Amino acid sequence: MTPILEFRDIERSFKRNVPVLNGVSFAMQAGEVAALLGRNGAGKTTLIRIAMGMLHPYAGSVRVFGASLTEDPVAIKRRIGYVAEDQVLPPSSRIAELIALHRYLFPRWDGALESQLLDRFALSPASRIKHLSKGQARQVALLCAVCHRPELLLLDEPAGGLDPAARREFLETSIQLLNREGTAILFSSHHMGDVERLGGRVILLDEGKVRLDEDLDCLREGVCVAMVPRTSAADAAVLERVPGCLRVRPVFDDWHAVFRGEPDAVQATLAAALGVNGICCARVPLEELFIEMVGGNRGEAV
Amino acid sequence: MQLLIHPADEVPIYRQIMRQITEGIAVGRLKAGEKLPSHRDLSEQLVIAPLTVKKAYDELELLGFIETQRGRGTFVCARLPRPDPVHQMEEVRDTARKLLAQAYLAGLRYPGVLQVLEQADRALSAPASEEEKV
Amino acid sequence: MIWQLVKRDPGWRNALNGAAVSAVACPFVPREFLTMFGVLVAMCWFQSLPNVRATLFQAGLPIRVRDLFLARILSLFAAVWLPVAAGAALLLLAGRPVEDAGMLVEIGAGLSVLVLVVQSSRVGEISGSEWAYVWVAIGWAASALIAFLVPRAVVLAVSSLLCPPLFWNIWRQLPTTFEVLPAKLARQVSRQGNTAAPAFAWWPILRSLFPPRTLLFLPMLAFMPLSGQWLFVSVFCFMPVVGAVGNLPWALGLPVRRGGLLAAALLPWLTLFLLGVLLSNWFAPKPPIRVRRSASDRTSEIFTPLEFWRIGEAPLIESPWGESWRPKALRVAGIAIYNPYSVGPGNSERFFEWQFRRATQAVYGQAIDYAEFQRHGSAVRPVMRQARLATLNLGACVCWVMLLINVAFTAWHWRFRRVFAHGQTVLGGLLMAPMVCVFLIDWLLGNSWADPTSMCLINALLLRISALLPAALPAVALAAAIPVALLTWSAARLFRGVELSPPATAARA
Repeated sequence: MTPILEFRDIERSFKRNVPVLNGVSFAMQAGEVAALLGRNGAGKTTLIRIAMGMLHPYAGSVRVFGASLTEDPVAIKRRIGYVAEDQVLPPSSRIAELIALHRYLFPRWDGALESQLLDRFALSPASRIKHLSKGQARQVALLCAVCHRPELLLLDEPAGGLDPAARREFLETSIQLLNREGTAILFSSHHMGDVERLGGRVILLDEGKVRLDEDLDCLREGVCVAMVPRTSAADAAVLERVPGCLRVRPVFDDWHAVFRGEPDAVQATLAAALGVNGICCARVPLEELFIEMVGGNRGEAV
Repeated sequence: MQLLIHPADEVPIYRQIMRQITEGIAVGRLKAGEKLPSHRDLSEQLVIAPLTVKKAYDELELLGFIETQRGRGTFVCARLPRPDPVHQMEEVRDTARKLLAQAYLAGLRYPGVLQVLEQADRALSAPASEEEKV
Repeated sequence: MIWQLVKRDPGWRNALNGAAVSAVACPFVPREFLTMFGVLVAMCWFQSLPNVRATLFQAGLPIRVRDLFLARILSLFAAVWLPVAAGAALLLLAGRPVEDAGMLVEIGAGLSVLVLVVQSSRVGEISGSEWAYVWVAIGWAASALIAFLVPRAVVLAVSSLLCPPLFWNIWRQLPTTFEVLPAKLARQVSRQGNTAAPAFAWWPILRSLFPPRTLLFLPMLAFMPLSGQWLFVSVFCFMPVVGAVGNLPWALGLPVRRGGLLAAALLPWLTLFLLGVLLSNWFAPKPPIRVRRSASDRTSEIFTPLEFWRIGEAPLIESPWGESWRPKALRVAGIAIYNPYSVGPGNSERFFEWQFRRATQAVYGQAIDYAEFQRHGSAVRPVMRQARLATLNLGACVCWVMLLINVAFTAWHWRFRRVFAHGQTVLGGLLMAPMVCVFLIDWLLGNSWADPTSMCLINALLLRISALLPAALPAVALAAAIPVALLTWSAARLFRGVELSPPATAARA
């Protein structure tokens, strides 16, 4: 099966010797949902822009629908829906004009879905973009991206700055699209609740590389966090040597270590390795996992 | 029956669905042979991914609680699987520990907890339309 | 405090840059082109956000509105008067007549009025209306043409009379805090708006490509090429195109061909520019042949444009009846050039007439007697403005603009940026380089009586090329079209590799 989107060893930097992406590879199949997670500046926007052909990778290649973007960008873009947080829509255009432009450019435009979304978002087609709030402008962008029933949706922090109700509406629309068209979705988001709802695969970017790339539920159930008192382990290296350790970071009086495995099994392993029983190990929600994997150190002695 | 899910719960969403369906079956809110919503409908209702729903249903089917009939939908099994105490004791023990901790915090002693348990048992055996009181 | 604000104001930066440029350039600009200098000063003002009173960031700081406004007005006036003052001072130092300096001051006075008029719109808000300032600026440009007819003293008097009341009008309307959004309510639009598709789908893209600010380039592009000096004016063709391309990031996610977007951004400006150049073939300010006859010492001299001069040590020019004259050779950058139609002090009237006929033969394509030329001028247009050379000239114009665009796209290309981290500075440098070269040529190799040397060089080149081409006009058109096609193709190819970042969320922020 040709992957619908494939990155191979992508490298890209913006300042000399500071790579933003340093060998990122993954592939998505049709109908798959993947969430790109990472701290601000981890390269999520850069990666999505590379997929859209707006940025060129310094090394590696990207293929969309099995073809390279330099061959026929127009035909490929007709099958993609793109929403970005920093997309500045032309301020003096009316919503109806934007929609007309999209209707002209995308042959598979669904008028029924368009009216449905206009109603749901409570947008009036004659208003100008500059008179809309940021969230409403984002909803217009979402509408334009979704109504032509794309095969691949690229969403770059689509819900940033939206109120919870608007975020929920966006999720509903995406899930509708998933159900009815089997659209593949690659999205980056900071709202872990939305990521958990949309499910699928989690790809965690950190320091230019892919740190984690697995199914969300497997991640949730296959990984746990151990809180080891500082007195039990002299430094992080001791914990990192324990098999199954993914990351260690200091938090006040403890080490927080992310391990693969069941909490009981990890507790037993740690007891064997450090000689300390009853270390607290627990499964954590995605947000905590994110922080443990890529968060900074806390409460370091100055 | 209404399902409620919390994305930031300790437990992944598909397990929350599984748990709520099995609890519903256990207390009688879901009757044998009752039709469950399709993947699509449940996913749009709860605003979660359809694959998550599918995963939950697949696991429940493996355990024998529900069955899929091609072209007709998903139904609660007419005959529920034999209870498997070994597998589920872990969870029961866990819940018992939590219950006792809560009760002791509320100032109850062990006999008081037993009383509460007897009340709950009576409520469960009563007609299924009654609200579950804790 | 005010000085702190002024230091950080874009107007101040433009003032300093403009002053530097005018100090260097003014002494060497001939009088006819001092009005172009006025355009330079106008550009300084135009790039300084003339309708903005405070940025969103400043509005949130604990600074009094009066201080903000004073700082802004000071910067805007600096953007106008620093270049004017520097230019005027250098002109006087260089010994040019007071008249020239006076012209600069007149321009400064006119612009001051414009500064205040633009700032008068919607005083209670953080910035005035963009459309208003565009229309006002166009109106001012139109009236500047009229000002040619009005004596300088009147212009200065009217300007100085207008400025204080305008300033006072704004000052008394200043609020205690600025409103950051337009106070005028947007018209309430009904929900039941009709979603029936507008007839023309491309409106949003056109609106991005041509925001109101770009309208200001219209009068400049329409009138300036009439002077015939299109090398500098091409900047006004190039700048709005580059600005338009900068507004495109949102459209890059759409399935639209990049080449199409580039064409849409480029063609209107290019067409306007070419139209101006084309029209300059009919509306020439002065005839290309100039004759200087001094009765006192009975000397005459015939000056043709530099492109008709010849390279090499001056030979002896011999008339058919034996009279001769060896012109004085000019040494320019080590190369000797001479005027082949020169007349010496000892030569007869007949020699003069003969040389004049030869000169008109070269310049107009047919020999004209001096007496007739004095009475009726020339019946035909100069060779440089006839169809053949006009076509080549148009081709050269387009090539020049496309060259600038190619340079810009090269500097924006991702491969280039990868190697040269400071792309913007490099871009500025690369674009300035041809302009500086042109300017240096005009200055160092300048002659105060004829067209700018750079244009003469180009004309000379075109003449040489025309001599090589076959006689038929279509062949000439083809020869002009080929480099244009090549440069256009390369610009389109380069554009594919250009990475545009989304514009910083507005100058509003």
